[in-house]
Amino acid sequence: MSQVKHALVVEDSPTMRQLIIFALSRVRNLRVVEAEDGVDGLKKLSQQKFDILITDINMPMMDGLKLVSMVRRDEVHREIPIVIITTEGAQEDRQRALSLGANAYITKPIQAPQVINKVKDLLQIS
Amino acid sequence: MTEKKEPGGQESEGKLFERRDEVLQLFKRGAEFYEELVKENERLRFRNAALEEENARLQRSDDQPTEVGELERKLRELEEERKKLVERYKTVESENADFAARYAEIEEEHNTLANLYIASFQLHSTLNFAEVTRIVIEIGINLIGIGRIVLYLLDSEDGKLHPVAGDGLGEVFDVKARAPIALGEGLIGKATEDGERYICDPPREDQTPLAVIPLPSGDQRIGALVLERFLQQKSAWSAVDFELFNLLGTHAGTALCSAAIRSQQAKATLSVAHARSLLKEGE
Repeated sequence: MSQVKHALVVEDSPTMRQLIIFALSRVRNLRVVEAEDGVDGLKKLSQQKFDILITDINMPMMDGLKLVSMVRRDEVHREIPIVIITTEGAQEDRQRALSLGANAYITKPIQAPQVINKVKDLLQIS
Repeated sequence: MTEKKEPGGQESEGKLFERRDEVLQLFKRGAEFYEELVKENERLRFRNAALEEENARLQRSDDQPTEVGELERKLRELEEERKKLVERYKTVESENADFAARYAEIEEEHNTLANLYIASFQLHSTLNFAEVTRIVIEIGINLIGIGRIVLYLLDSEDGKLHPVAGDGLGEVFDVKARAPIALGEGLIGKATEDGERYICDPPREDQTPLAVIPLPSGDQRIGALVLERFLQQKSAWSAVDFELFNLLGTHAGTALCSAAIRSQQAKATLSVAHARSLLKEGE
């Protein structure tokens, strides 16, 4: 039996959050936890170990860029694969997130297969 | 037999003995020759029998398949089998292509249904007017991929469409700065008045708006959702967009209307008597 993996989805938009969670529900042996913004995301990260982080960039309280940089300095999660979700005109944000240590990005409007494939690739699961 | 002695025949007697010896030698050689012939005959008979046996064996082996013949037969069988396998492979390959196409279709269908489910779920998840408004805008941005979007509501007093909410990602965007639009005026006013959706398809960069979705609630006009431009990474409508237009066109107006009514009667509770009277009205 495959090992259960845990994903954290940090997204302030309930619509997007639900769409991502809905997509990830199709990945076998993946448990998803959701957070509404960067601060909530950090809180969830401190409570358990995750195998992958999917985060939006534009969020209130703490944006995705700040979250990425903080996660990369975190003892437990510094190696975690990170997928960022970007809107448009965010080439600089995207570049910055990648330079801060994000592993991949997805642009809106997101499609479920896109999310699934990206997560599977990073978690190296079939 | 008595020997006759010829006269003066010491010499002839010697000759006779000689002759006799010669004859005896001749008989002896004859006997030896005979014996040899018998032996040779015997050997030849054996040889003949052996050859006959060999001949019979060869005859039998001619009737039965040889090793080469056997290999040729196997080769033919394998060739037949290979042909069958190639045909089967082609069939399976074609079936595979069909399955792959079907899988892609199902995947797209699944994606469409997921988008519709989520949009519908979110629209009806709250009766807070501001939240419903935000969700309508979010559906436009996140699920359709719109970069600039405006929600107009119809004011029953002046009969005009007023911009009440919107988003223009990365732009200075003040929705309140926009002028109200009279019903029947321009693409937006006309589409709202007629209740007919307007979609610029295929979309053109210089075309604004790209789409106008009238938002009715029953037979009442509530407003219109105006999609002004795509996100940079989007350049065309997809099948799911049209499904979302249908959903927004039928649900968003009602969701906004319900939320507005609810906000006016925030403390109203559902009484069973009232519900029963409403049900009776509906009969």
